[in-house]
Formats: sequence, structure tokens, C-alpha cells
Amino acid sequence: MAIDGNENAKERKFLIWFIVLVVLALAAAITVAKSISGDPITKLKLACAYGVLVLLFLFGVVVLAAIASGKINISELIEEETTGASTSRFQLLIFTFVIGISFALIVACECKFPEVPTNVLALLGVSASTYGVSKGITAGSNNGSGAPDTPATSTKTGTDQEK
Amino acid sequence: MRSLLIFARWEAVVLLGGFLGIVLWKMLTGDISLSYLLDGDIPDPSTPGGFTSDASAGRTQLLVVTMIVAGYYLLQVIENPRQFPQVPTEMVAALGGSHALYLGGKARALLSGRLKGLFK
Repeated sequence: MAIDGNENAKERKFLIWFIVLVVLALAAAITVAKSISGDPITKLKLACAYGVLVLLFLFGVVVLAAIASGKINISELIEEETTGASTSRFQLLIFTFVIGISFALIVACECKFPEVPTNVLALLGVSASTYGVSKGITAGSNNGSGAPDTPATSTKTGTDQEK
Repeated sequence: MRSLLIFARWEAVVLLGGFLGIVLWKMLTGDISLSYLLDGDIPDPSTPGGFTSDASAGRTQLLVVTMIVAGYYLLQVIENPRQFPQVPTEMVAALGGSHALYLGGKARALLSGRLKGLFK
């Protein structure tokens, strides 16, 4: 019963926040429509564009705030199931950020959707495939021998399996 | 229309930059753990799990090559932010080789026991 009540309170809080964000976006759209001059169609287009942009921005800010405050937990972003960071996840994170930032930069400078060269797709493909194959190898080893997902104990033996 | 573009640009910068900043901050403060990032598994029948871990050359070279390629790519975009840079095919091949080396080492370490069992 207590859990149901807690869930209901959470749902109500989410709904209130959602309505507040939509109202803010609508207010921004109406303000824009009133403040600019021009024919009604242009006004409507600009008001809709600003409204959607403000709504997206507010959703983004809410997600960022939740991540920063710890409500959305990303502490295991680059970890596998057991303790220990995963190199394949880390490199995928780096490439995702680098290509995402460059995409945003290019769109901002050119104001159009850019042509994506094959080599850039290959770069991201190699990175994502490595992550996928790495997950496959880990899952395969766990099914068979019960080996750990990532290093669980660190005993410095002085040898290296990849040497 | 121009102010709309400026607004959209700043929105992308704030959201992407914010996410990048939060992830970096959490890595620096230890909320996102980087421990064992460069450690690989070594088959060791004497331990209960059958594996121990040690510094891995495969993981280290993967991290170094990733940093070099990502840094090169980012520098090219900052130099000319009007189009995606042409990444040399040799560089993509080097990255692919590095990843293959890492995956080969990981597969050998984790799956060699199973493969031996299959062929017995």
C-alpha cells in the first residue's frame, strides 16, 4: 500500500512538472507571437519553432538537473555488471561525445544538415562494434566458465594475457 | 529568423556541454569509477573465479589510439567547423587494428578455456 502511495505521488509530481514545462513553452511561444511583426503565418511558424525549442531545452535542463543531483544515476555508465570500468564502453563514450560535439558545431556554423563522410561512419561503426563484440565475449565467457565480467580482484602477477 | 538560429545554437551548446561537463565532473570526483580501466583478465585456475587481473597492454594501446584519433578528429573540426573532416583511411584502419587486438586479447583470455573444452 505504501509503495502504491509513493508511486502515485511520484506520478503526480511528474505530471505537475510536465504541465509546468508545457505552460512555460506555450508562454514563450505567445510572447514571441506578440512581440514580432509580420503576416500571421510567419508569426505562427516562429511561435511554434520557439515553443518547441523552449520545450526541448526545458526537458534537457530537467534531465541534466536530475543527473547532477543523482536522481538519474549514471555512476555505472562505463562499468560492466561487476565492479570495474570497461575500456570498450569508455572509448564508445569518447567517440560519441566527439562526433556529437562536431555535429552540433557544424550544424551551428552551416545552418543545414551536413554530409557525413563514409570514414566518419566507419569510425563510429568500429567503436560501436567493438563495444558490441566485447559484450558478446563477456556474455559467452559468463555462460561457460563463470569467469568475471571485468576484473574483480587485482593480484599483480607480472604477466599479461595480451602480451 | 536569425535569433531563432542563435537560440537553437546556444541550446545545443548548453545541453551538450552540460552533459559533457556533468560526466567529466562525476569522473573527476569518483562518482563514475575508472578503476580497473586498464586491467585485463588472466586465466588462473588457483583462484575461486578462475581469473585474476593485471595491467593489460591491449587495453592501454586501445585507450592511447582512441585518444589520438579522437583528438585529431576534434582538432580538424575546430579548424574547419563547416564540414565533417576527412579522416584518412589509414587512421581508420589503425583504429580498427587496435580494436581487433583488444578484442582478440579479451577473447583469448576469457574464451580459451571454453574452446579447449570443446575440442577435448
